[in-house]
Amino acid sequence: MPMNEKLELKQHGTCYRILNRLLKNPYFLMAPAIICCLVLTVYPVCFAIYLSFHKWDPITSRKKFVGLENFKYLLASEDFHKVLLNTVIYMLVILFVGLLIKVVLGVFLNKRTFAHNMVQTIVFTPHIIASVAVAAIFMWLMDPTNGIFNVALRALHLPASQWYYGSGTALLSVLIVAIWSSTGYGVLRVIAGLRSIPEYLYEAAKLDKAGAFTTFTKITIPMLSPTLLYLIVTTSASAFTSFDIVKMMTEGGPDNATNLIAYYVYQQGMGFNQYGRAMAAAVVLLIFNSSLSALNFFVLGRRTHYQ
Amino acid sequence: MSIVLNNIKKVYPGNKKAVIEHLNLNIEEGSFTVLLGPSGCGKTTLLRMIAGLEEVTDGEIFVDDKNITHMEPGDRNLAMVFQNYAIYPHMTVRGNIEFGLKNYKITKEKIKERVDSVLEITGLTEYGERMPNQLSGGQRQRVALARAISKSPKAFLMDEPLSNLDAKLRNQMRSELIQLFNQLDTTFIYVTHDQSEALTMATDIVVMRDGKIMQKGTPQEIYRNPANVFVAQFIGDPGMNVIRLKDRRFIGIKPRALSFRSSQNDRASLKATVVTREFLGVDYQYTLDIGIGKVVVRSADEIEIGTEVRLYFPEKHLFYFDEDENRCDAFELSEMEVVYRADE
Repeated sequence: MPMNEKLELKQHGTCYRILNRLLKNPYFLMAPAIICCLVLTVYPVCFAIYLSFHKWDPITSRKKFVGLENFKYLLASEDFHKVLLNTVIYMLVILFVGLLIKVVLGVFLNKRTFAHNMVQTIVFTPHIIASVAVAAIFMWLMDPTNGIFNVALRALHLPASQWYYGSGTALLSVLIVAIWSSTGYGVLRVIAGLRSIPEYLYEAAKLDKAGAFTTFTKITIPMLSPTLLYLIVTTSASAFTSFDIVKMMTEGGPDNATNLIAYYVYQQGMGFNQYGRAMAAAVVLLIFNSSLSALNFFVLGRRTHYQ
Repeated sequence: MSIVLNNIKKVYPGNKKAVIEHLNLNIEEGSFTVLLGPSGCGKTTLLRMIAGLEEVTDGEIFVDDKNITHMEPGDRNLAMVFQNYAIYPHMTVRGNIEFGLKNYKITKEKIKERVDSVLEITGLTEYGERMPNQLSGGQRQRVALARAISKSPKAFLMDEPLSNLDAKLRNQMRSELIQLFNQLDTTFIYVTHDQSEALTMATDIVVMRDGKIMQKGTPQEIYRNPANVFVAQFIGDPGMNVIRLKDRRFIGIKPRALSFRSSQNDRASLKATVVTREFLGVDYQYTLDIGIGKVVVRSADEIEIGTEVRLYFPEKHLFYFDEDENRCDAFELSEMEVVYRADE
């Protein structure tokens, strides 16, 4: 320690010296973040994994170790198979159809006129409405007897649909709502991504005699890839944990047609008091989700061009 | 290939004032034509109109007697090198060059052959599979050149291609561009605000200001025989000393034509006071007050600020300009107290 610093420290009290030393310690500075992370993320995950090997009654707080019993139950359960299938279908549709809609809308709205800005704002609005409210609005719109959707279908002389009441159309109804409410944010990301592509690349492509289609597939899409990767990762992760729309509209029904894994976890725990099974399902969800994210990063990350 | 610009006008959408109006220019086949001027003079707009990236408001552009005014950029058979290179960052060097060729529907073998040959010409053979972000500024510049050469265009359009390089690399690329021009034997149209680039590389210089052509000529003509006050002051480092006289006419002399010592040729002289002195390494740059205005002088002599001196110059090095700032015949200098030495 240099001489003048020593002198300066001597002039202050013990408290000051301890604080001074602590503030120079990186672990001390990181502690709040680490503690939050441990308490709010690591502990619940570990506790869930721990519970998945137990039969637990939260009322008596009695725990009994059952080994892989909960997982065996899930493997054998037809309901759980259906839930997994629903979740995968839900994720794939949201990912591909949703992404396509976002990119197409983004490309069409990427102009700086007053009308374009207006439409952008309108498209973005669903993002700031609570999904419970969105679900409530759509329940009203999709009402089989006098919802506006069926009124429109009948006016066009098309057969009316049962929407979220029918086991064949319920998942589709939930998907429509989910895609509708997530599109606005995605479109905004796509527009931001498109605007970050420098204009001179398009000019170079024009001089290279590239047509509109070649320009889109060879210039726009690769240059947009960081945005697309971000959307793929976040969309697929949120599809796995999608809960509120299902809870609001269908409660997993009819006949488990819209039961997704996150709702299944809730149902097993809060509904049937089977916390062990719920946690086992949650662990399956965790494995799915983390391996998918890892896959996305490794596979797409390599093909993604970051400027 | 010659390019003829006929009565060109350009108004940007939303603006009332034209950036370029009534512009006529003939770019000769096989010339290295440099469009030179300060920023905002319309030189880049002009180049972009030739390339087809900018709509022509009025007038016509002909390439070899063919009207290309409204042709798509890709159909004009011209190649452009952009200021920031405009290399596709997600493609390899080879991919960048191939991209254009593929759109021209050339066979795979031909493409490979051409890419290999342009990589060799530009010294990039080892870098074919590299991504642009693994290349230095100079190498990226070469990729942009390679891409342009690969199309064997009728003319090369270059928009300040060296301005993003450091001084040393700029000098090197400058001589490489001259070599390339000699080797390719086509027309180059080059936009710059840097007169040293223009003077070193061009066969023809077009000096522009406010969307108008001030003078067109060889570098020697432009340097030795400026047609007006603007060109006189713009060309040369530093530019010509031009002083406005009471009768609204102008008199000019180049800084290097003035000297502190009398010699055989310097028969005229006038009185001056040193105002500032800047050390430039090889010599000094002085600003002197000659009573009716200030002049800049380059000299290796060391003279203190405030000193009264005599400035000597050969009479024939005086340039005369009329009220409209254009060159005119010599006139009587009544305001300046020029002393003429009698022949010995």
